Amino acid sequence: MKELLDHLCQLARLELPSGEREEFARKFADLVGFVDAIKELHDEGREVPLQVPKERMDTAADEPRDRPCEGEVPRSYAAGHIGDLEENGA
Amino acid sequence: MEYEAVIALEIHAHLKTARKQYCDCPVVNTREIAGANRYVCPVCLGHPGVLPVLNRESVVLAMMLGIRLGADIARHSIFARKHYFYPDLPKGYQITQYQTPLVEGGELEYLADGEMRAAQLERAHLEEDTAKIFYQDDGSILLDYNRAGVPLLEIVTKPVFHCADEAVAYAEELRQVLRRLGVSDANMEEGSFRCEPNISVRRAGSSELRTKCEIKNLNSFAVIRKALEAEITRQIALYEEGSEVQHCTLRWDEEHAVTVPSRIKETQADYRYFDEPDLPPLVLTDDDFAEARERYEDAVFTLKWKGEEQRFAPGTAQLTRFLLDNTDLRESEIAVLLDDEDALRLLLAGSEISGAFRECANWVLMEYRPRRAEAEGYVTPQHIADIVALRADAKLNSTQAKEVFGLCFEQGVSAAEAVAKLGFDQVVSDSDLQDICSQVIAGNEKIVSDIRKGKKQAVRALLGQVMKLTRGKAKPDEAMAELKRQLGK
Amino acid sequence: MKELLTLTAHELMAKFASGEVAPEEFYALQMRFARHIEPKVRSFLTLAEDGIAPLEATARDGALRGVPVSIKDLLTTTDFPTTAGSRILEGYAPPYDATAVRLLREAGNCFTGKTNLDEFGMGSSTENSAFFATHNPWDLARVPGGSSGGSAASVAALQSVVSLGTDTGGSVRQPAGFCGVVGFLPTYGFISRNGLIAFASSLDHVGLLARDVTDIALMMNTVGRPDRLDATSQAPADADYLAEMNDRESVAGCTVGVINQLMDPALVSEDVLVACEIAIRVLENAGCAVKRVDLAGVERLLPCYYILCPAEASSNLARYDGIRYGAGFPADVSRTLQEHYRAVRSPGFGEEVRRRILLGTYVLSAGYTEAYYNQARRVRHAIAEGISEMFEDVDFLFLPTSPTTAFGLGERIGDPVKMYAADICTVTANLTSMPAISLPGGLSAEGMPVGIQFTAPQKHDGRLLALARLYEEHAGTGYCIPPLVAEELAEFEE
Repeated sequence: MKELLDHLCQLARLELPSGEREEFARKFADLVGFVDAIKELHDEGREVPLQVPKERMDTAADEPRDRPCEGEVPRSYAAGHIGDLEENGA
Repeated sequence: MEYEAVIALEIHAHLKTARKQYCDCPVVNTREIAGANRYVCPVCLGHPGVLPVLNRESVVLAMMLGIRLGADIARHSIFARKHYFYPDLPKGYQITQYQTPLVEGGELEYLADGEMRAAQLERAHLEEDTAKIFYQDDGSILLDYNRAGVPLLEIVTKPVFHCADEAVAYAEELRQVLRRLGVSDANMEEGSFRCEPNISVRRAGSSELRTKCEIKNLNSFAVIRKALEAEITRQIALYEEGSEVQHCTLRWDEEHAVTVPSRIKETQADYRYFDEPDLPPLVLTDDDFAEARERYEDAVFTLKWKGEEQRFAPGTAQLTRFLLDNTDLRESEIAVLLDDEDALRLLLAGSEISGAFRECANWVLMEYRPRRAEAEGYVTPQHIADIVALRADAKLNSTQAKEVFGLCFEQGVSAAEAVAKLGFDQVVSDSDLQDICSQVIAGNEKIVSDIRKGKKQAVRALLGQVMKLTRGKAKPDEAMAELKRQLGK
Repeated sequence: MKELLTLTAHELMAKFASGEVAPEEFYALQMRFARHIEPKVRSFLTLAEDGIAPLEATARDGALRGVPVSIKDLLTTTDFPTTAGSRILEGYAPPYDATAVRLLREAGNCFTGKTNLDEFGMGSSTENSAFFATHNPWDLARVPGGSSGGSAASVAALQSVVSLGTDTGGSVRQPAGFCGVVGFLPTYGFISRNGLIAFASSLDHVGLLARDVTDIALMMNTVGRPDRLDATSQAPADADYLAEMNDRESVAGCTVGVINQLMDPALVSEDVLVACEIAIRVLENAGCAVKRVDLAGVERLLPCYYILCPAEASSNLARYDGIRYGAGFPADVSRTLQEHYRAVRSPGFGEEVRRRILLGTYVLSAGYTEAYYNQARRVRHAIAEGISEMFEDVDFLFLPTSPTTAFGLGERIGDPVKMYAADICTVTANLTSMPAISLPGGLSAEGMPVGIQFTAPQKHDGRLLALARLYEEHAGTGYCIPPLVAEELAEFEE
């Protein structure tokens, strides 16, 4: 469970404070047990049904706004060194 | 041991729309940080509570490519979320199409080594672009979200290329197709055409697929070629020494002319795909198909060849092949013409009238294009045909013909009118020629005596004078014959 | 004049129309009382400043002009900070209004403030708010329910006349039940989600809270409209919910199915069952045919919900990285990106949120998707089919809003699974996109409100309101003022 939680924390960019880990892992294990009930069904491998109630989307016309920017938003964004982050991209 | 490379290409092209993929922001390409973050809104910035609404134009453009490739276009397709953390990805996920691409299969013909090949495609689907990162000297980054949310088409081939040249030839053809269809500006320097090869090698003749690597951030066709060749070499070397190729993402190091791994963690990316709950399915109507087909037809290139209409799908390969097969144009000349529709059409129409293709080509390539680059003016296909005919009938010499061409170009007069205006219709009579030759011989004792002493070449100087005196209207060979006749006396 | 504070919106509108009181006057009074009782109930994260005048109505006929509304702090508002009950958005000033908020604004509503909630909507008691807990106006030692606890409490405690909440697994209906007010969940897509800070996109709804059914219909007429900014919006453009609510024909002789498995004494407390049986009798007296029906797979409802909603939550909360807004913005460039994420996300999210993000990441991660997430999707579909089949036999469904009345503050907070059990009666509506409404069903032996619930097939919102109105008329157990609030009102000096 510890290893699993570490892996999940890495994927989700979360960190559990060391004091809380035990307790958290315990509650998390309870939760996994709770949702494990879903596994009792035997229809794996079937297609995953769609869940959006609307049957088809309405698209937008290719008409941009007049004003370049919408809303009061900051115009400058910075961050620190990307470091060892996995260089993903589309 | 012989090895062969197995290459697939993944290309991302910006779609030529006015509005971003999921919000109402205008699409603007900003090159410097000074213009950053002007074309943004809460949606493309990924603020809390925002929702995407798909731009219909990107669907139609994708359909047009699908038609061009003879691919299957999904009437019903869904979108998915692809999750990863990176500062250029505002929502922490990208909205893309995973299970159901809009376009599937299809094929693109391209020319490699003069041979027509066909590349099978895997799929093409709609996505959105990420923000632009500007790396600062201190290692920090600045982000420009103008590009975030710009519509992208991801076009993926099957692993059908076996050398760098093939892959590059395909990429170049795809780029042409996208531009001619009006689907994308497909400009590598501006970032609207990005090419990421996947490459592995295997024993020649085998059909196994071994571990592949991908190469990113290749910013020109030349670099793509170099990087592919270097990577093929690298992988072969690894196998030869008994090692394995590890899956990794590479970039091109220009300085050392090698591919190097990007800093990457060991774990494979886990994108945690699931279908996008904020977008109901995209369902295409008959009207959508009709519009895509109509706009596709507009981009089909038609020409008249020997009285028959010929149609060419948007791109360069088919037309190139046709011109190579039916004319004596060289590939380099074809490349120039295919990039210059005005000149190409002039040539085709002119040669339809004239029948003398090569001569028309020469006029278009060597006289029309340079003039048009420098000044205002035009010529019609009839002009080309007429001038070619005048030269064929020896009614004009080369210099005269160029002058006529020039006048037509500047003033738009017909060839006949130009000839008259320039006085080239006045033929030098035989007796006038005789007289002028005598005059010239008489007035150039020194040259004549040189000739008689054996310096035969000196007769050219006399010819020059005859031409001058006849204002270029004498026929050089006739004048030369007359001079020699008179000198022989 | 302070008696006016107990009125419903439609009653208030009549007073405005007759000139008995001016909207501006009433709004000022409302704010004064809201502040007066706030230290006890603590419904609000942000209270409106004095002196904000109601706007001139710009839309329709200003159906709700001058009616004070409270807004759950999970909906964006440009004139109030919006925190989602979380430190990670502390101080965040949205650059745009949620569509539902904008529609209310245009209709002339005035806002009393932003109400407290479980962080990002995750919870059933409002104890997961990063800031403080809200107290049930019926018993300050008990929870108001969640996640729209502040909204429900604000309406029950006469701090607002109506409220805009959100409901992902029962978050409007359950607190409405616990606080003795009406809570309405419309069909998915009937109120735009633009501006609803996403928790679980395919389950999230904007919901409405009020003191009676007529007020709900009035609010629906303002906010239940199509929106081009929400691709999942499917509201009928010109429905008149008030008219549909008043259409008795539409519910004459209807059949109501009582779900046996959710009336099971093993699952549901006795207090609640007693109130339910009374409610059933009310229905029969009102002319409805009542039938007992079976919902198969009740034991899968909560596991299904608690796989799907954390999965979507882990996705929707990925954007909170402090690079563009919120805690940690503007980023400190001397830190590496990894350090920045670490410094922003973990301290910014509370324990329950972290738990759900990790659970969601788990069920979506490679190797587990098929067994958990895809399974839950199939179960969801099966449940929806089961419900559709039930609606072939009956026109409406009846069930309790919650298995118990309001529990004590601190009682369940240490045990997530126990907390999740509170949702068993409400998640089905979200999973199947059917409209649902919780109505006050009387008081328990201890004097706490019991909520009873009706649901209808998708898109039958108007008919559902008609049934609710019918029940309300015959039941005589509508909203009543909590004793504590009545005391405060008596003491309150205008």
